[in-house]
Order: sequence, then C-alpha cells, then structure tokens
Amino acid sequence: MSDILKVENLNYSHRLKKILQDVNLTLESGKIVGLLGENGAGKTTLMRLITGVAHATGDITVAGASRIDERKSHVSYMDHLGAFSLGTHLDRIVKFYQTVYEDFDVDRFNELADFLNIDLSLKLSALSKGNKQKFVIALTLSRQVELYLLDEPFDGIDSMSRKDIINSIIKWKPENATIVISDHYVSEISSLLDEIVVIKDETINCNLDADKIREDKGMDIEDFYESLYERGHDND
Amino acid sequence: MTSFKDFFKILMGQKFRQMNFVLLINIIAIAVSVLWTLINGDFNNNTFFQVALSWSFIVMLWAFLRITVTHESIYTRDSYRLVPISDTKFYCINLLTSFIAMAYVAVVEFVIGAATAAINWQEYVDSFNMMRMMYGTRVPDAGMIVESLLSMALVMMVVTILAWTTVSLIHLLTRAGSNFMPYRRSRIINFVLYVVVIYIVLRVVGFMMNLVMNSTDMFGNSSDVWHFVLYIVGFLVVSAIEAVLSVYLMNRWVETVSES
Repeated sequence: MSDILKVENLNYSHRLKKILQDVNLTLESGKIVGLLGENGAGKTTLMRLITGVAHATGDITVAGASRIDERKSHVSYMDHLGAFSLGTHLDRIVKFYQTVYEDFDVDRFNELADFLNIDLSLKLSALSKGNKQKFVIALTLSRQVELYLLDEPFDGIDSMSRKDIINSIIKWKPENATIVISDHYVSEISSLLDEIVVIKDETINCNLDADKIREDKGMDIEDFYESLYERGHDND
Repeated sequence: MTSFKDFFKILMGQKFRQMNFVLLINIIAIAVSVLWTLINGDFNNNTFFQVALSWSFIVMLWAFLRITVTHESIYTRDSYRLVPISDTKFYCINLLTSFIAMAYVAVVEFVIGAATAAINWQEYVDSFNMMRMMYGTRVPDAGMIVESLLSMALVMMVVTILAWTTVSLIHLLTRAGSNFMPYRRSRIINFVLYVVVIYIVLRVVGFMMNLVMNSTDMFGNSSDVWHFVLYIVGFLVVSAIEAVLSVYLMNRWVETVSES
C-alpha cells in the first residue's frame, strides 16, 4: 500500500479564529477512513483544504500531487450543487460532470443511480434532502480517482437512505482508492471503517486502525470515540 | 486535468442559455409594445424601429448585469472551483465566455435593429440625403458614420472587459480580506470593507487610466488613429494587470462559499 494523502504542518485560521493547528496526517490507499469530531471541529475545513477550495499554510500532497489544480484531479469531493439553480434537471448536472471531469464514469453513475433509485428526469427542486444526498454521492463516487471525500453523507437523512448510501459505498469503492467519511455520529459508519482520524482541539487527536481499537483496547469505535470526550470533560 | 475546450463549453452553454432567456423577453417586450401602439392607434412605419431601439438599451444593461452576477458567482462556487483546471485558465475562460455572451446579445440587438430599420429604410436614406443637401459636409458621410460606429463598438468592448476585470478584482479582494475580519459584527465590517476596497480599487484604476491617457497624449500628435489605438491598448493593459492580481488572489486567498 502506498501513501495517498500526506498533510504536513497544516495551519488554518478563518476570521481571526484558529480552526486547525499543526495538522499532520498520512493515509494509505485502499482504506475507508472515518474523520470524526464534534460539530465545528474542522472536519469539513480539512476536506476543503485537501481539495484546494480553501487555503492554509503547510503542505498537502494527494497521490504525489501538491499543486492545487493537480490535486483536484485526484480527489472527488461531495459538491453540494450550490451553483445550480433549483430548476436544473439532474441529467443536465450529470452532463456537467461528464464534461468537466475526464475521469467521470457514466456507466458507473447509471448503475449507482439505479441502485439508489434516482430519477434523472427530475429537477433539483423536486428532490428530498435524502434523495439529493444520494444523487450527490452517486456523482462523487462515479469519478475514478484515488481519494474520495464524503462530508457528512448521512446528515439529516432517514435510516433507509443511510443503508442505501452505506451499501453503495461498500459496493462501488474502487479497490485501491481511499474513502474518507466525515461524521459526528459514529455508530452509523463504525462497521465500515478501517481506520479513524479524530479532530479535537484544533488538531488531529488520534489516527488509529479500527481493528486495533477493537482488539487492543477491547472497545468498539463508538465507545472509544466517546471516551476521548469523557477524558476531556474529566480534565475540565 | 480538464481541458480549455471542455470548461469553455460548460461556461459558454450556461451563459448562452441565460442570454437566450434575456433575448426571448426582449422579443416579447417588443411585440407587446408594438401591439400596444397599434391598439392606441399610433402605429406607423417607424414604430418597430423605435420600439426595438428603446428596448435595446434596457436589454443590454440587463444582459450585462446578469452576466456579471454569473461571472462573479463562478469564482466562489464549489461546483466550478473543484474542476481540475489552473486558476489562470479558469479566469481567462470565465472572462472570454462572458465577453462572447455579451457580444452575442449585442449582435442580436444589432440584427433586430437593422431588421426593424429595413422596414422603413428608404425613408431614412432620403432623410439622410436631404440633410446632406441642406447642411453639406457638416453632416458626416456614410463611411464616416460606419467608422464611428465601429470605433464606438471597439471602445464598448474594451470598456466592458475593463468593467469585468475591475468588478472581479473588487469582489476577490473583498472575499480575501473578509478572511481576516473577526466573526463579530461581520456584516458591518464587510460593508466597510466593501466600501474601502471599492474606493481603493477605483482610485488605483483611475490613476492608471490617467497615466495611460497622459502617455497617449504625448504620442498622440501624429494621428488620431494612432492616438485611439494607444488608448485601447492602455485600457487593455490596465485590464491585464487587474487580471493578474485576481488570479493571484484566487490562487492564494479566495475560498469558495461553504455549502455544507
């Protein structure tokens, strides 16, 4: 396995507030990684920095590429489609993806769309939150890249849709690609994970193998994650 | 990496669709206005041309504002900024597609104007010849009128480019600057920041324009054509400087709007 993501000495402030400090992180290829942390911990920010839509000091390398435009061609990040008006038909958005991303696999997208029951003739405005999230995930996973960043893919959606999304992640994950899933509800994704990265106190608190947590510490991931915050509260 | 052609196709398609909507509304407005004139009993051979001409100014302004809004939002939306393409190409394609979309509206407006003028063309020619007979060389000949129209079109094109590069620079400077403003009372601070940035940029651009005009005046004695060309080149140089600064800001400081 090779390193797919390398983050070194990353520091980021926004509006005079420190969000991330001295972040160092290395991820290998072929893993499903849980990026965990409370609301506002900096999970989304870290993903945005990796994709290059936000800027910080420090070094980020994805699949050996450090230049922002090159990095973008190795990362597929959940785009919340804010650039498209609500009247846009889904097939037009698919066409957009097909045109601007040379790694976009239409066949794979069609399979995913079938699997997730997405009706492409609809307009964006006709989608429920869950269906929009499914559509976004289908778009994100249909690119053939080394690193997928799924930012809170289960946010505000029902349990059936969650199951569909989890199944689609398992089924369509390319063997050598790494998928990073951010969430603050660990129970939903713990069974998926090979590794966890916890952001706490503006930095990476821990980066551990999921099996090691289960075997060495005798805890499931959810309990381990909660224990990090209990310790924090005891210290307070 | 995304090619110039593919990204161009996407942005051009979007702006074309917007401009087609503007032009559709324009045609409906002309039709309704002509119908209204007909109902009021004021219809004559000039009506089509007069109505088309009066709507064309509003349409051009609307098209310019609509493109400007789209042009600027493209810099801060994830859907576009996630595309693997260099910032320089991104900026150039955005500017080029906006320019082509605006030129498209101008050409269609010209065609509508010409078509409506053709209905009563002979009368306009007769009036023009009459004025030539009455006032002689004080009335410019057809060649001079065409030359003036072409020069005006060229100036309009250059001014439009300069307007977009200036608006983009102000927008990107403000977005970059807001990263360093505190969260508290950020709306008031953002407003102050906007005013300060707009003032500074306009002063700097004004200074550069004066510089261009003064330097062209120095060379301008030889011929009016040479003088005119220097002005145009000067404006384009100012636009190019603004574009370089904007690309630098995109590359280092400007973040997209967080949509999650």
